[in-house]
Amino acid sequence: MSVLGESYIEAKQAAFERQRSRGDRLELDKQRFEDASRLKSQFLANMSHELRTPLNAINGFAEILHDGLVSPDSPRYAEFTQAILASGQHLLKLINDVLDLSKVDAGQLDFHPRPVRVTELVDEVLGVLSLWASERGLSIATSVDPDVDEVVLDGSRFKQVLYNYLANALKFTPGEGEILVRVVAEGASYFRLEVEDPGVGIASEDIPHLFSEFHQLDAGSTKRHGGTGLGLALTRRLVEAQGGTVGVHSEPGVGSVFYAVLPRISRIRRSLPARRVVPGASPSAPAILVVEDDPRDLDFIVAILVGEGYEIETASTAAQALELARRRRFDAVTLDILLPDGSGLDVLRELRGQPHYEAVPVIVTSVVADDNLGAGFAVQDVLRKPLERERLVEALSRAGVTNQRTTPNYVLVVDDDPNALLAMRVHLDQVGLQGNYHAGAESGLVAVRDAIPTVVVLDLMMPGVDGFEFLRRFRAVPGCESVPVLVWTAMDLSAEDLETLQSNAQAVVRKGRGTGGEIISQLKALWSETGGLHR
Amino acid sequence: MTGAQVLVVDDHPANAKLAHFLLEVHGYEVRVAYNADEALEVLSEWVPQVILMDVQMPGMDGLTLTRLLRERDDMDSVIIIALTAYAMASDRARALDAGCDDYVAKPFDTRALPRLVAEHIARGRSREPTDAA
Repeated sequence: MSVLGESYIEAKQAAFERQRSRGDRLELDKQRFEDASRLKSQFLANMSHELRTPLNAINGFAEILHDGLVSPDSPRYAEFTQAILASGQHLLKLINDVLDLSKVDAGQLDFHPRPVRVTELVDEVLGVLSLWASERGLSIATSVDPDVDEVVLDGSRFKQVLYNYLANALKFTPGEGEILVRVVAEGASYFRLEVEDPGVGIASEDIPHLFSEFHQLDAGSTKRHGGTGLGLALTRRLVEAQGGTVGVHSEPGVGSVFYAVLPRISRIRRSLPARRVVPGASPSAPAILVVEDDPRDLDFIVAILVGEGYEIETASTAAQALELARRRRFDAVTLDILLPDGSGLDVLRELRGQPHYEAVPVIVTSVVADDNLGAGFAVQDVLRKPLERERLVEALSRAGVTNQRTTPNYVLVVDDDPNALLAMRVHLDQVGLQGNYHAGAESGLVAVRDAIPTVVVLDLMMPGVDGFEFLRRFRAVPGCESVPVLVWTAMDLSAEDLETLQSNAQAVVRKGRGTGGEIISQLKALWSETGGLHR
Repeated sequence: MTGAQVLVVDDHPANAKLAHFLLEVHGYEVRVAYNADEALEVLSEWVPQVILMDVQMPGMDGLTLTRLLRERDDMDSVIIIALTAYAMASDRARALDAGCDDYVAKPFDTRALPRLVAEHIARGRSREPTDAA
């Protein structure tokens, strides 16, 4: 056979092989699709069954009461209304479990990992279940390895997992006995939660289905034990979504050990809050860098500091914080210790290494109250979360970072042109400055007797009392002698006018298109120059 | 008042209580079994005219129990009505296949069910053609 012929046959064979393997793949895909859709209709059929069962009791007893088949005085009446309520509660739990399940599936369940103490979480769950346990003649013992007591995970999800395991253990332990909750290390980076019961146990052939939806050892156990049949399925997904695993060791008639293995430090990435920049209430307000990745804590801190008039910039990662700190010098820093890309301590170390950050007050915020948290670097304060408004304000005040305002700071704007007043209001709002707007010199002069303005923006050409007259009378008001005045005018000024203004006003800006930016920068310059805030 | 006997087989306590009360109010003598074993025990000494049969139960399910009963001569005249939360189209066929005489999906109508039971009793159990032959 020629070389060409051989290669032709080889090529044909290869093509055939390819085709066959593609056929196999298609067959496999088809198989998977059929499995998936069979599971889906199975799930729907079970779901329908589980919803109809409590609804039967609800509708049935309600009809009986409605039709007057039971006298309201009879004990049966109370018994039946109780059955309606209990079935309604069961239905609600079922719906919540299904919603949680579908959220985990869609990756929509939020996890908020934080440093937590396992012993505290275990105690909280026991607090909920201990009454139920003692009613059944069961006791619950706990043992937590101190090495894994402090972990970083979503506490409420952990409690959900433990609750499901414990509720299961209580349901399936018929006699008296002790249930044991055990938390031990699993390698260097994981820990293991175990719930051991002396209950009925599970046959080995039932174990593979145990963590699937509506698959109990026997189908009726759902009804008998009041569960939704979704608890273990939900538990598995909650744990797996956090990078962990679940399982069970069991022997029929002896008992079961349900376990979950979870990372000691949750690696769940959550969406970080967007960076925020909020101007201070005045140009000389101290600027504070807020380093915080938890959206709720961030909102809280920002609201407090903005209310106090500080200028704010926020960062939600260590890298972002250092980048911002390099760009400008902040007057103070609030620093969350646990950041998605590292520890706040790394930020602190870097900051303290920079000459202009050696002495800047840093307020550490942490869920762990430990005064040595600064790890040898000077910190102003350590505030424990949840934060309290007063403590944060006090900490800043102790650090000397305050808005020393005795009277409210504001810009007095006097102009007879309503459009000019409106334009100035827009400009001032943008930079967060408080304005007080007057369409006439007379009302402006009344206002300054109530509160001395920080800066005045003044039009010259006005009916009645004009700008020159305003200036003369303004300077005569006690306290107003040295308040900066910015003249904002469309007038052509004579040499004589300019001479008058020279001695009484600090700047003159010509009105016209696009001069808003100039006014604002002049305003800010005047403000910080005179230290207008700190009067 | 009919005085006829009905056995309710249902593992769900509230639903068993509902059927029990409803039929009692309509004049039936009612007994309840919470699983197949209990049902067999009751049936060994007491043969009702009607059995209301839940399907999903721990241990032996209601349809398997029905098949078992249909093999017994003393159950020939007993009317078995499947009363189940399995409400897909195929579930009715499955119940009738197993030997049930009728099928009612949960949640059931408390006004209609006693009527249905009375109708079945009035009509009597129609024998399968194969039995008649």
